[in-house]
Amino acid sequence: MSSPRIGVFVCHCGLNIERTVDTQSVSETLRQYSGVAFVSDYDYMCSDPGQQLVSDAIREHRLTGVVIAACSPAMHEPTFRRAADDAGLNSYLVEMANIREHCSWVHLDRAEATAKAVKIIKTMVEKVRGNHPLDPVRIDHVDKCLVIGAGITGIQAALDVADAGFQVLLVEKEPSIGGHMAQLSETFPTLDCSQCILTPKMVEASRHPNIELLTYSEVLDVAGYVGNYTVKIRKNPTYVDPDKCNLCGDCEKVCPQSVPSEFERGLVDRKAIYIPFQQAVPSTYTLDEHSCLGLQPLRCSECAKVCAPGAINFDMQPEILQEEVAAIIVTTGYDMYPILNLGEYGGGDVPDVIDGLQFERMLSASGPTGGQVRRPSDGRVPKRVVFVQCAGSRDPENHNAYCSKICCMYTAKHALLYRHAVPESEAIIFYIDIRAGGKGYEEFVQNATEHEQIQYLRGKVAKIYREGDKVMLWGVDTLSGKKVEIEADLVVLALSMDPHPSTLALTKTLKISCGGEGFLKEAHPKLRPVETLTAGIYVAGAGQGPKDIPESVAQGSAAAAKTIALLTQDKLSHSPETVSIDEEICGGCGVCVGMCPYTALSLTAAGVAECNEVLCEGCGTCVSACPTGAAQLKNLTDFQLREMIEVALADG
Amino acid sequence: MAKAKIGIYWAAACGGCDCALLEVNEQILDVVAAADILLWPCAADPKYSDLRGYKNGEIDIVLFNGAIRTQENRELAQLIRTKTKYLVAFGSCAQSGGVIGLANQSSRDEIFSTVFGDQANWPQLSSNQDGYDLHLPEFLPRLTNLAEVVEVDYVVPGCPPPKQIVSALFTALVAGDLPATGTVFASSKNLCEECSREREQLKITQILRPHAHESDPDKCLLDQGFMCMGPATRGGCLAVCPAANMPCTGCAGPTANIRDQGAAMLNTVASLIGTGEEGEDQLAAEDAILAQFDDIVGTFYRFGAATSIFKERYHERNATTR
Repeated sequence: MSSPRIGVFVCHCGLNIERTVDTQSVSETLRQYSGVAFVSDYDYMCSDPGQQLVSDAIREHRLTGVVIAACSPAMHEPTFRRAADDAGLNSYLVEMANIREHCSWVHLDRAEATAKAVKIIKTMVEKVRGNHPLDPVRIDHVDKCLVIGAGITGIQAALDVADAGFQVLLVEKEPSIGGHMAQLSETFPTLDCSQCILTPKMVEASRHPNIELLTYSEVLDVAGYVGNYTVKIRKNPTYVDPDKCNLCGDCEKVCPQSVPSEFERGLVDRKAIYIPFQQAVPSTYTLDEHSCLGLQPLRCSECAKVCAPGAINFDMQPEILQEEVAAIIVTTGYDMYPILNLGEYGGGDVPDVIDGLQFERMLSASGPTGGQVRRPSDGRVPKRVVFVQCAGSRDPENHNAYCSKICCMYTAKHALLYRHAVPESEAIIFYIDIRAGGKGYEEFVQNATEHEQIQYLRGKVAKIYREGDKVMLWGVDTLSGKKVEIEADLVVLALSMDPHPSTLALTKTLKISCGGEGFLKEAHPKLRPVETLTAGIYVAGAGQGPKDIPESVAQGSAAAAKTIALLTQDKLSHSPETVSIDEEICGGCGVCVGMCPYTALSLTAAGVAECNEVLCEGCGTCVSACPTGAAQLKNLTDFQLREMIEVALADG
Repeated sequence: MAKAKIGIYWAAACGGCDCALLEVNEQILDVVAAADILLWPCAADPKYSDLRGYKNGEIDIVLFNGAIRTQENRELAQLIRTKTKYLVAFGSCAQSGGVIGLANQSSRDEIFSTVFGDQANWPQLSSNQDGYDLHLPEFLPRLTNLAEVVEVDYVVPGCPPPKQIVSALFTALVAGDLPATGTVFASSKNLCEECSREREQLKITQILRPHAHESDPDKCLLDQGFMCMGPATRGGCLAVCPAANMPCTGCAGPTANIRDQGAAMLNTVASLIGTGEEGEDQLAAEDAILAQFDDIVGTFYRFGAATSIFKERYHERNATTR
């Protein structure tokens, strides 16, 4: 092979680099470095003229490799790889030497920073010297996507993808789609009826020719890779044939088994055979096998006896479906922080201490009280309701450290709706700070405080307990510095938002990650908010972090846009910077197989490891675990790393 | 055809490698028929003057076993290099320093104190006994392998090299058909390829030692928690140790892509250690497993300490020469 001719392009990044790094001196030094055939520096290498400079130099000087000394590869690596490609140099012979984030931005001493910049560039010259031209891996894909979770986020994502003309599999664990939004009364800040704006979307999702709805179903297993995921889904038996069920409700009347209604947050009971709520989609009854007396005609078959259309079938079995999808959108949503964890607030102990969602059900015209606010203990209309914000949030010592974001707004809404619903009533809100960032949000809170006679008390509640038929609150008003003791009829806790309990297990199935708080982790908090580190798997909605309806819907649409962008491609392309296995060296110990977070590695019949480069994300976990060195990252081999380290540690 | 001229030399060695040469049984007769043995201190009584008398490159091939521990070892290695066409690092000590490379964990003073006791008893470079001037070779500050002193053409790994590998070398020698220089006379793959135990890809949840625990003879020793070096070690010995319920100790050295055998295996073990479920206590549990190691250097660098990246324990070197 002829000797390398590497071009080094040093960017000033305006003053971002130039201020601390002497780019002239860097260029001079690099000109003398072995293998470097051309060096240039420029104000903004990423600008059009800068890119042109790179392309021209590649052609004129027949460069065999390029090092761009500028910013992080996360910024402009694609820019320069494309420029090189245009000039006829394989993209993978281009590397970024990060002399900005790793050097100029973090140092003050110009001489030292300049010396460090030289070293950073030299290490990348060594890397490029060992690089090989690579071609992206091309993959065929199916034309379908899977959406897990059919709350408002999942419904929005499914509708957007379906409207673009692609098939969608919408999987929901509960008997009905709709999620928590279906439980809400009115939504802040516009106070439109939640169900009124949600149910058209639910109906559309169920009727859309491109959407296949799988309710009461769970994702069991996911294998494969972007464009070609194989998913296994279990459709749990509802024991009711939805095509025969005419919703007469006779079964429900005769069912002897009552359990707390999940949809009504335990405010009332439901029967073992039930429909979660009137507008449920699909509109059919479900027999909950866990609360049914036994699914046996001998033990109890009251429902089947009265069912005129004969819709009830005790012999229904779970169905396991296998589907091929190109992409997966995960919208697992949230759950309330367990009220039982808030013993200091009488959680689970004082019946008239309820959570925000229970209050929503009370306020809802379709709720168990028909829209009237009543105390769970005795059914009386409460005259003084105290709302406690940050119950379980912003409390790193005892509960969740994070802010649940929506509670300030919905508590203001609760107080306002309560004041409207009950005349001569008193609403008191304990808050730490009011966080009302959002269109029309601050105005909404201002209106609540100024015109609705809602009393805001700044401070934390220390203790809530029952005294007679009252609920007592001890707290501190931090503005006056006084202790306060309030006698309330009802207390509503704005409970922290937790990731849905199913989230962790699902992330393991999907091999995506959770953040420390248990919410789905995005690839980048700012620039890749709905992507995960696994190609073709997207996250959206409150499962990714506390957020309100508009944000959830926006994320659902964003994830859909990403999915559509993927589905519209003829073939998918995957980075070729993957792991290769040297079959001459691999003895088949299999250590790598268990390490791979993407299941890209397996042992062949011949007893050597094999890497499926479509699945491989090039993380290198297997490389560090491989005891023989047979597993190597393409263009970042141990050999290259050693050369780079030697240059980095060399004198001068 | 003229008979080939071969030599066999031992430096800092235990003698096992010389014995291993005879493990080929009657094949040694083919060797003697095809070649004259000019040098074999273990079996004959050649003098250095004989060796110095040979012309440069006169000897065809020398099998050099043992590490470079003393100035004499070094000088002889250099002398032999000039006299032979091909030089073979024979056995673990010549290849990578071997077990005695572990001595690099101690300073020369520590070693002498352990071996000779009081400083008064330490050997002197020069002394006079009964009217005779006695000279001892210098004990080098750091033990090295052969390749750190002179260029090596072939490597025959093992402690000692197993019969079939020695036999392969002799076959090539007798046939006059030596492979390209740089060849390591062993498998290019790791030992797992030759091991018949079944590996289930288990996490390591405990560290067991073979003298204290019985092992399941059918299952992978690493799966069971025995620190078998097989994954980070070249095959070629047909995995005789694991077949005899002893974990591989790594005597054949690493595969071609690995710079540091112990580091490679430590990486592997670190990757495999785990308590299954992710969670808050996981790190503490893994630390508890790691704490079960009695001798990390002796386990993972039993034969490669002298050629490891760290080469020796850092210590203020005593400047006095002996």
